[in-house]
Amino acid sequence: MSAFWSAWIIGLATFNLGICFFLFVWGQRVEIPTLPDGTTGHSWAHGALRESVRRLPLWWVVMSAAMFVVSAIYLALYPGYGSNKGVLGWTSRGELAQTSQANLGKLDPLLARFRQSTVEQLAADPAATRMGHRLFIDNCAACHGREGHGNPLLGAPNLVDGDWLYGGTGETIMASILDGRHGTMPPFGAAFGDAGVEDLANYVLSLSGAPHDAAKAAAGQPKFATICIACHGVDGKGNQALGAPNLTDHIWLYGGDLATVEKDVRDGRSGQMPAWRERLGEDNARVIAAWVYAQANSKEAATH
Amino acid sequence: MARGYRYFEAIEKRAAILGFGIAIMASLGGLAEITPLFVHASTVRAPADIKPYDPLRLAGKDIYVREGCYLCHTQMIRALRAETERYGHYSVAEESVYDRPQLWGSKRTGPDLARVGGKYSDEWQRLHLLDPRKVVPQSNMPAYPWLEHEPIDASDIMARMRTLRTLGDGYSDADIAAAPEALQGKTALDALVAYLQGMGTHLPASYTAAAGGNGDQP
Repeated sequence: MSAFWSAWIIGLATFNLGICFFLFVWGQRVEIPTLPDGTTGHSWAHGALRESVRRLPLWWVVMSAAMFVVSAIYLALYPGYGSNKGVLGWTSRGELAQTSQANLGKLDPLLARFRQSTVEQLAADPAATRMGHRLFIDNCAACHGREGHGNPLLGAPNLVDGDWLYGGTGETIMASILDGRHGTMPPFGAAFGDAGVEDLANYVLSLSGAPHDAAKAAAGQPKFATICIACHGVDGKGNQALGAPNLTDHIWLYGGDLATVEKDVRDGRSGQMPAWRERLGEDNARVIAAWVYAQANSKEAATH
Repeated sequence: MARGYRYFEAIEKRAAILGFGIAIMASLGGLAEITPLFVHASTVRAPADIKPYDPLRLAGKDIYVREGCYLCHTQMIRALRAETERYGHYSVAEESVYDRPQLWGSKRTGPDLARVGGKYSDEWQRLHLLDPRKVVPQSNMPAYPWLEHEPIDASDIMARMRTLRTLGDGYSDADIAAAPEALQGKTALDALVAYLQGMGTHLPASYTAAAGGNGDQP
């Protein structure tokens, strides 16, 4: 703050306080001339209201005096009187740093303990999974749902069904969270034509035993063998190194009806998991991964 | 003392003079608190990595204003731990240099959006704008389905950019000439998503290193 603006603020504040203080002192001492009936002679509403003279009540005087004292103390302690920083040297950013530090002090022993463990070990630690679930709801639930059940409209996978696109170890889950994933299925509509897409979709459905047209599936099989096996494998079981889904189970990223699978093949898919390294950091990602791991490996998931 | 009272009485009995005196006293606070900030605001300069809005984001910002998003969403993360934990580093003045008008807002019905850029995928943003309940079942945000079918009107984008250049935004002639091309075939939804995805992604480097600034990393 420049010297000019500092002086500007000090001048205005002093002027304001000075006038108030003058009125406070003078107002109690001034002699107000009165008429014989004890009023000042001021009248309103054609004389219906007249102003009499009373001493100021003690409570009012005390509270006003206290106001001046508090103002002076406040301006001495906190920044406000021009560029004067105040005795406490308070700043909002300093307070933030302090409260963050205090919080870190409470959190650090816990995080230090978590850092010693793998995600798999933390999954058995209720303190870690409780923290993980909270963070999951704040950050991950928008796509994966509050309990991690996913959202087929986005192709956001169900995280608690025990089925994995990229692998279900603690390390892989951490990598997915920290660096994100971009699952790409190229469009094959132009290459195979409408009929070809329909055949392929029927073949894909046949892999998991879903309702399909057997003749079309048989026609789709050789087409599948020409291109699709590159990512989804000869048997259609997928490839976790590429994030290519297993097509032989009953788990569908975008939906398992014929129309959806046709759309997958024709137009392709581009599913994006954002990278969270900067937003969350490793400590937070670790407890989130622990919660996800715990859910995916619970008894419920095993019976899926 | 009775003589002094004469002046007091003169003021008290004349409403115009009394009102004038009250106005002066009441404006002292504003003069002390607001005028220095007006001058200070004009000295804030954008760091090199904060650029004026590209045409698509600029169009998206106008959609944001038109649809009244600022009525429910703020773009101002305050320097409080409860906010930095949830939304990230507190907002700083340099980040709003190209916001004309600034859209800090004053009421949160939905969450703060100052650093929402990159938090979700483009696809999530599209789906969420078209029908928020499809991704967040408990959301009470209105749906904006018309955005998807509304082409961006590129006819006045050059005029808008020229106006902003008059105000100090560093658009070159080439930037302005290329603007209608950049909006070709884009919908209001594309523009709004582009605007949202750029939000708060360029915190000036001087803050990221500052002690205590790392509020989003417990």
